Amino acid sequence: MIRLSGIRKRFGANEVLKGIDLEVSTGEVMAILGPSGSGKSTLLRCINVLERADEGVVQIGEHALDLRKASRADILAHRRRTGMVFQHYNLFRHMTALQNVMEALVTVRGMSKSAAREKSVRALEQVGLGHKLDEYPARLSGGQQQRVGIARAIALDPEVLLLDEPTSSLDPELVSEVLDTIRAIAGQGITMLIVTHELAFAREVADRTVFMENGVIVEQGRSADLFERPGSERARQFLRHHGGYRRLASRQSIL
Amino acid sequence: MGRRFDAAYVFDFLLRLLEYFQITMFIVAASFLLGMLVGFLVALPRLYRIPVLDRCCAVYVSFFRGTPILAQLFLIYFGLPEWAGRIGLDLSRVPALAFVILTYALNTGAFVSEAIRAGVGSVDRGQVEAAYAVGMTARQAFVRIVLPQALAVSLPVLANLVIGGLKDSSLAFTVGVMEMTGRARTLGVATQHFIEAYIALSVIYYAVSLALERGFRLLERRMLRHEPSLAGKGGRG
Amino acid sequence: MSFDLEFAVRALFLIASALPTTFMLTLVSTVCGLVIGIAVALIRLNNVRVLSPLAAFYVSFIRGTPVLMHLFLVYFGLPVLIDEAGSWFGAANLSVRIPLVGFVLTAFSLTAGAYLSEVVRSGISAVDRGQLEAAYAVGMTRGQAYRRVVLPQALAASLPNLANIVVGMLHGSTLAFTLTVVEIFGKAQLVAAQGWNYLESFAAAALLYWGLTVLIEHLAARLERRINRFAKGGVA
Repeated sequence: MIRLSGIRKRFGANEVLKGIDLEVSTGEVMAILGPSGSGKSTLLRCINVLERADEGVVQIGEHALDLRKASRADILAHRRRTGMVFQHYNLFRHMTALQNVMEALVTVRGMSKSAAREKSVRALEQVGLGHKLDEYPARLSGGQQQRVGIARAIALDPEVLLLDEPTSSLDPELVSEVLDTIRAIAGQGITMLIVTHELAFAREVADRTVFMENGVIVEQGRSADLFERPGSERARQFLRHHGGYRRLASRQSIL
Repeated sequence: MGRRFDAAYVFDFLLRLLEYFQITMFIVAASFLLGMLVGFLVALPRLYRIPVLDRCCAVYVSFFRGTPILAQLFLIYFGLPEWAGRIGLDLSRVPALAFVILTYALNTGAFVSEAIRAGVGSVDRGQVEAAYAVGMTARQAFVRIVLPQALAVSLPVLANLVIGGLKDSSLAFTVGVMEMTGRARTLGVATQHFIEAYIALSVIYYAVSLALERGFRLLERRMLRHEPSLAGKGGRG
Repeated sequence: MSFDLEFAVRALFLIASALPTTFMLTLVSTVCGLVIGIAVALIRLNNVRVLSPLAAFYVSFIRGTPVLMHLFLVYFGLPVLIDEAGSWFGAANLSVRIPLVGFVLTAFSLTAGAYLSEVVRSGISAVDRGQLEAAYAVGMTRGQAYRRVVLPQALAASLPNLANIVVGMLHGSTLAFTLTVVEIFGKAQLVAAQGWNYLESFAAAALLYWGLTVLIEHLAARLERRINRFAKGGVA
């Protein structure tokens, strides 16, 4: 499980996160929605300390990390419990898909090359890329690159998987393959936080949804409840604006 | 000046000049390798923005890129022992070759450091973040992810530096190091067949630089095979 | 300190008296080189039948050999050619009439020409083909199209590389002393030998070159900014 307490972050004079409290149970999938500038990505990046929050505590399982006082060693240990999937995939371009997944297993976890290779092949097969092991990122489509990114993250068996707008950079026809992969991973019971714009997907896959605006959580609850009966006016406006999902959702239920 | 042109001399001189090929290549290799080391060390303070040190390195780079290599050579060969003498160090026993390699290494190092900085800058920050996200330390991220890609991208520039080093080695004779050009001069003086000597010498330089160019192009294609759009384009027109 | 500042400053002024020679060498060779370079670039881009491979060889040879070679080949080789040609016309030993500086300028111009041709080639290639098509569409001849539309844009695009070459020629001018043409570096050697102060003399010379190089880079940057202002488009 993961618990966030009092996360605050400002960039210069701009307070981007104004005290975020959140808890995600083990095996739960939580979607984070909101307009741009609401701080969703920053929040995610504070969780694995890619951004240094001004204050707050992140607790994963039994290990709590004080974001203000954390030492480098604490942060490294903390990052081993999280995995991240980036909007722009961020694959290591000079390594093949297989090497991308193997890299951290060997360099960070100290696994033997053969053990790492086995684990990596399995992870890549899990995301449907068992036949692209020796391809370089430049030769893979965006959707394939993102799936490699997912494999790279899950191969490390993180306690929490963070997904930062995983489909926002993809061409529309490639989005569904990545969403399918994420759906399959979610079905295996890994704890996930997803920042996304794909409302229909969020409604379907996420157990609970959080709606953020201007650095605060405006509303949270079980996805079904939030989407059907949004409590706050802002959430209602947001969903109305991006309401295309309703049509999508109902079409899916017919099929 | 000199006797009438005689092509036979060209072939004869070719063989004699090649006796000094080793020295020339030694100068090129030693100064490039040392230059890579220097360039790397000089690039680091600027990459990590270490105060004071990064300014010093910037000045060093500006100087060695902003002055002619011959001036650098004379400054170090004549000036260094003189200055050392004033503070009590006797450098008179140091061979001229050492001064040559030192100067060329410092010169090459300035260009190498710029190439490394540009190469490192070309690796997108997202990959560094991904490296941190999977738990790598800053050092691991730099050595495993950034540096390999930076070097691959800088290869055309580094290749030019090696070939430039080959051409600069022709100036070593001005401080008394006997390499191919020096030999050509003495052959010319001895036989009064200057043009033949320099034609032979030019042929050797040309052939070697073509070979180096070809070699680097192959190396480039291999090191950049992960970026098919860049491989094989090279830096030369 | 162990550095005679007073002598260095005096040396600086003595050495600076040779500045005009250095300027002349650098500028003349760059300008002649530009003419050669543009001609060579156009020949290669248009794949002119016999000339194109010759031009390619010329560029490859110059870039693959040291500048010193260019200097010596011209100095020792040109007289041979000239005297051969001269003997046909009955004028023997024409070559002794040519001043040393003539050899130096010829050699440096050939050097500059090869490097500049590459710069011009890439500059011309960088110009959108559409520009040429538009020029033809309004009725320009090929010559006019190149002169009025393509080349100006190509030169603007190549400005940084051009600056690099000018700096290269400035630095290369130091080799002129091997043919006893006294420019800054030659002067520095004379000054050093007279006063036995090698460190200060060469430091002064180095400083002079450094200053000139920084100046050239500065001017190039300013020129680039001015030109790019017009290339930006828009009203403001």
